[in-house]
Amino acid sequence: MISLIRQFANQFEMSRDAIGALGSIIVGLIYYLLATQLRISALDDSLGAGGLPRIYGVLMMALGVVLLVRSQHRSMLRHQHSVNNSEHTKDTSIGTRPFLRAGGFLLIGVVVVLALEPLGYLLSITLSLSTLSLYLGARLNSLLIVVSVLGAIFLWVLFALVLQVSMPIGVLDLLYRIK
Amino acid sequence: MDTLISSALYLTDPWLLLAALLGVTWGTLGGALPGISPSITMALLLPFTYTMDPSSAIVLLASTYVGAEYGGSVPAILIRTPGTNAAAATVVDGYAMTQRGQGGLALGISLYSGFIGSLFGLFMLMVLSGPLSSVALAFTPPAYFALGVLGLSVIATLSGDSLLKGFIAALLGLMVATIGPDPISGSSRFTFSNPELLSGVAPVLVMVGMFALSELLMQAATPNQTVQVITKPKIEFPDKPLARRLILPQSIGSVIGTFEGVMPGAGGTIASFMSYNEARRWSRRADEYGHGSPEGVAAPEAANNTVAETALVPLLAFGIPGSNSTAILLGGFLIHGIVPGPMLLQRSSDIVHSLYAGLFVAIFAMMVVGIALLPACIWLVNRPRQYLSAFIFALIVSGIYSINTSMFDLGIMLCAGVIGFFMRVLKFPFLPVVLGLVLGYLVESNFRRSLTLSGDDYSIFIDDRISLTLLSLSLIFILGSLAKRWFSKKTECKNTPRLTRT
Repeated sequence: MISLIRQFANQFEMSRDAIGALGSIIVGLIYYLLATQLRISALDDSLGAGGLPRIYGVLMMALGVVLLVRSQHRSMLRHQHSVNNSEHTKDTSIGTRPFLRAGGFLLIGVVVVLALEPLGYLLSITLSLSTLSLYLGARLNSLLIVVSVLGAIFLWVLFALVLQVSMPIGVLDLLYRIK
Repeated sequence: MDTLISSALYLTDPWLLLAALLGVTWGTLGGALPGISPSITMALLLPFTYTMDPSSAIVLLASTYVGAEYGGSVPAILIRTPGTNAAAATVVDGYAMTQRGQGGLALGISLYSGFIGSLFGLFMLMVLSGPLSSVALAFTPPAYFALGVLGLSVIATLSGDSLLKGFIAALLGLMVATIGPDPISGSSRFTFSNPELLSGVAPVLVMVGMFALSELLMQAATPNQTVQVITKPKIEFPDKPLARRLILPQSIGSVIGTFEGVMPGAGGTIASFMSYNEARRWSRRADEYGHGSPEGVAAPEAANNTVAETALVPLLAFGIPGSNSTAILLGGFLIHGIVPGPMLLQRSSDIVHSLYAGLFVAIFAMMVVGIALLPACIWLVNRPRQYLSAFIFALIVSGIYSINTSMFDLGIMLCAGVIGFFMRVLKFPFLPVVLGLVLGYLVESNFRRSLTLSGDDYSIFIDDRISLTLLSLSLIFILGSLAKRWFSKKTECKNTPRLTRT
């Protein structure tokens, strides 16, 4: 048994499925633990507020384990196959560069969202349009500025004027008061 | 027949025609904006209806609903962002068609199928209002639970390559659906004392994050692999052979939409997913689904547009609003002192007939508005990728913020986007998450209500005929999908030489 586990550990391959499986197990476990801590109400039925969540948690962990075992079984088969045939094993690793690029986009997005109330809708959307376009490869020229400003005004007209959503005014309110 | 003639008399009322046209235009615009739901679009019009005559006011609101249900498909097809919950199923093949440069055709199929579905729904609303409403009343908690299970059984088909990953994704959706008040005791669950989570997580936040934001993150991550396909800024309707091919998915969508629409709480989302699933099951080109199949656009669009009409059945017959949108419409009725219910047709037959006439005009107006507005939308999507991605991000931020003017909602959307990005990288399917999230509350609340009613006797699910039928259907669907997978894998293995199998 121990040797089997050792063999499993030695040949453990961090494939996409394995990462997904580990994620599922962790999410299932945390969710299950939180579900067990739910308060029991006097109005509860026999199953209770935590009944189904506990089942979901256990199911998630179980499916995660099945996915993990399946992924490792597949990688072991692949490994065996490549050894027998002296073939190069298929690379399943994911490079870090795409994650960094996506992270950069997300970071700009988060900054824009955080700036929405202090800066105001118009300014933050203009900022969002210009910085994200630049980040994605647009050139810093007059077109970029025109597109950003017109795009922000278009969205402001659509949401604030036509749909009458109260969008944050931010620093523009301050300028208005000073005036 | 009397209903048809009485309704036709109202077709000459210019105010009614104007109300229908304005309602559809407004609704299409609202539905096309991510985050602006049909109910919000309708609610924004509510104050204006105070001063209108009752018939025009009701027609304005109902036409807005029709327009909004259609409008949700536009961003779903063009930018992978479902404008409404019901448009989530359209994303799969609609966006795939856009990526192949067939965005104009996808929009044309969506409009054409929406038109067919709406007309069918209106016919059902007018002719079968009585019998259909009795179906709605026959639905007890076990039957609603079974309906939810039937909806979830679609996961077996929507899971893509891995059923296991599909189930994990569905569980994730079900877990998110448990955030908020417990359906029986009302106590808070998984809210971490945060007041913003007390009413749960709105599906639209998760959908916009998972579909739209994750797509933007993916494009940012792999800029060299993202090829922008230019679509002709022209809406294309299907030619004769394609239109003939679409008859089956449209019929499936219309029938399922009728069935789901009359049941309060079921809604267009289940209808569109089930139609997609069934259309795929009965299609000769099932392999094309998920890769830009026109039938994959036609079925859900016919279904959710049928629901926009048949959802009025329980409202008119019993005064039961089955969704937020019909609740707003109920508000419109009450503002003018009209109480929907069994006596509505006797007391206010003029309102009901003018509503039918208004909806008829609205369906045709939907075609006109669609043809007029859609080329501009396609033109917008054809702009350089850098500007377009930045604009989509600004649009979804604006749309999500406008729901509750809440920064917390934006945070949830961003988190859903990150989860969606990782799910894409790890090749987990999205649609089961949406299904789990949308159906989670329906399944749990009715499961527990049933057990409370029966004193924890599980036989209640078998004793109830509707429940038994729906549960049996779910089982057949799941087993059928599993068998199909098993056979296709076996065939694949036979056809693949042993050495290349890994």
